[in-house]
Amino acid sequence: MRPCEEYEDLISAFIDGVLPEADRERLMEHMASCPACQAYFDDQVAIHDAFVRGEAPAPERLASAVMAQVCSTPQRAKRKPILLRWQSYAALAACCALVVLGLWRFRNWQEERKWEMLIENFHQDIFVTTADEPEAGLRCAPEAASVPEDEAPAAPEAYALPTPAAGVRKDGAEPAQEEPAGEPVSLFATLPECFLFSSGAGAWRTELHLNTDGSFEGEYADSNMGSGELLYCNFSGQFSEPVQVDEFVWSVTVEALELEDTPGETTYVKADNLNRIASTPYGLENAKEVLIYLPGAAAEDLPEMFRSWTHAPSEGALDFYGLYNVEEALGFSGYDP
Amino acid sequence: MTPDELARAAAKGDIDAFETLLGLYQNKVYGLALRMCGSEEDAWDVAQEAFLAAWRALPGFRGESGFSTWLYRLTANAAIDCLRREKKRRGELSIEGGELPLSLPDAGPSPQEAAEGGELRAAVNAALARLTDQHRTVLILRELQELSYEEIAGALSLDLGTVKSRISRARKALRKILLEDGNLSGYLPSKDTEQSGRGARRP
Repeated sequence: MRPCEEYEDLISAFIDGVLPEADRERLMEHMASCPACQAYFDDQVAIHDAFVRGEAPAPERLASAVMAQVCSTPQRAKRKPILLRWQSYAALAACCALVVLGLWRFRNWQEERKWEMLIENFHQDIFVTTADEPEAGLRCAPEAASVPEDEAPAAPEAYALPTPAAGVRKDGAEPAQEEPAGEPVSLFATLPECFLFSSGAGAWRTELHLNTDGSFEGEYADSNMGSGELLYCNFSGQFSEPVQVDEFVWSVTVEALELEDTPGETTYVKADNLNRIASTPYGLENAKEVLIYLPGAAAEDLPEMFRSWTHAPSEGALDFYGLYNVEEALGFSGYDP
Repeated sequence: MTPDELARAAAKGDIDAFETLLGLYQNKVYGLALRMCGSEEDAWDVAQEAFLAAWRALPGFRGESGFSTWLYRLTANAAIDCLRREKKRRGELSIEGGELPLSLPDAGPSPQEAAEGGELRAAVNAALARLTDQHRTVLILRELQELSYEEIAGALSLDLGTVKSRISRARKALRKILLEDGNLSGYLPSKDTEQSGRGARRP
């Protein structure tokens, strides 16, 4: 006989010392007549006692190693609100291809110093200096943090978005970027150009660059310093026509997803003594349905894993655009480069 | 200055304030990293990543959850990244499950401990490494780092009810592993038993 599920939770709370007195009595009474729960209780207490607690002292050199990096790492500006640029929309879209090729590949690299060093060595011919990033200026000076605060995030305007049926169709007449401003536009045209999937703490990231017709390109890259390995995945794909779920949530499906190289393919780069290993598009793996969250969405209604990945607030209104891979419970946050 | 005051100063670029925070939290951060990753080398990397991420992100730190809770979240995320990288390298695509090496520096039982259940201690450490990332993280935070439910909720961006039930589920999963390995003498439901909801006692 297995222990009763209800009492498993009570036993867990009892062990942590947070079980109210009334429930405690109920648990004790129940266990007196339920050997399975009594056995469960005994085992859990034994397991609890078997944990090895106490602090593991950090190595002495840790603090100095961290401070050495801190002194050469700029602080990040506060999250900038993503403003819609209706007036410059047409011009922006026309520049889209250039932006795709140019900006998305090296944006943010300077945030991971070790990553930057690796990449610069690796792609000397491709990567230009990142010194034009606004945050990359002063290092270790108090001014480094005094980036002017942005205005409050722009409340999402009434988009006058088309219904899905009236939206710009991939296979239809005019591509979105050639339509004159003022005509109904696709949801995609109102979204940020880039979406980032990362923990904010690791030496990996997946960047997805969204085009106004719902197609996208992106790159996953993961350095592992010292291992001589660089995991990467260049991918491209197509989202379906967006379907509105509610005021702030739209749903699309991944209609196509292609990888440039077959996962597992390894290329040794002698100059860098590195193995480049083709990988899968982390963040979009197994993606079927992707939800698009607009600023203003109630944070408490969003999936907990989305909030966790994007560090979104747990309450209040979402202040950035997000993508949520429903299958894998992973979140991307949007930004304009 | 309190940790939150130090964090506010560090958010404005005060390096000395950050260094003080580093001194206050390095053992906790390193301990969590070590317990989650299982190797001193990875823990070293994860602890550095977490502190560096904190430094970079401090200007945007909203202070709702308190600095230590926020730092725990960064550490847990960095450790999960590290575990994923390990799994990727070993060719596993799934982020859940899978066996990981977990060697704690203080896990070796003394002769007295060995006599008083050191075997279970070692088995618990080994079983912990076989839990899903989600379950392992919550148990490490609760049982080893001794965070309160509220602190865990803040560190993992979960609500209290979820923390409570996840800890309970994690304990259940841990016991199941220990039972399967013969390290406990309890009742073990078979797969069929579990599927049918209620079953007969094991012979």
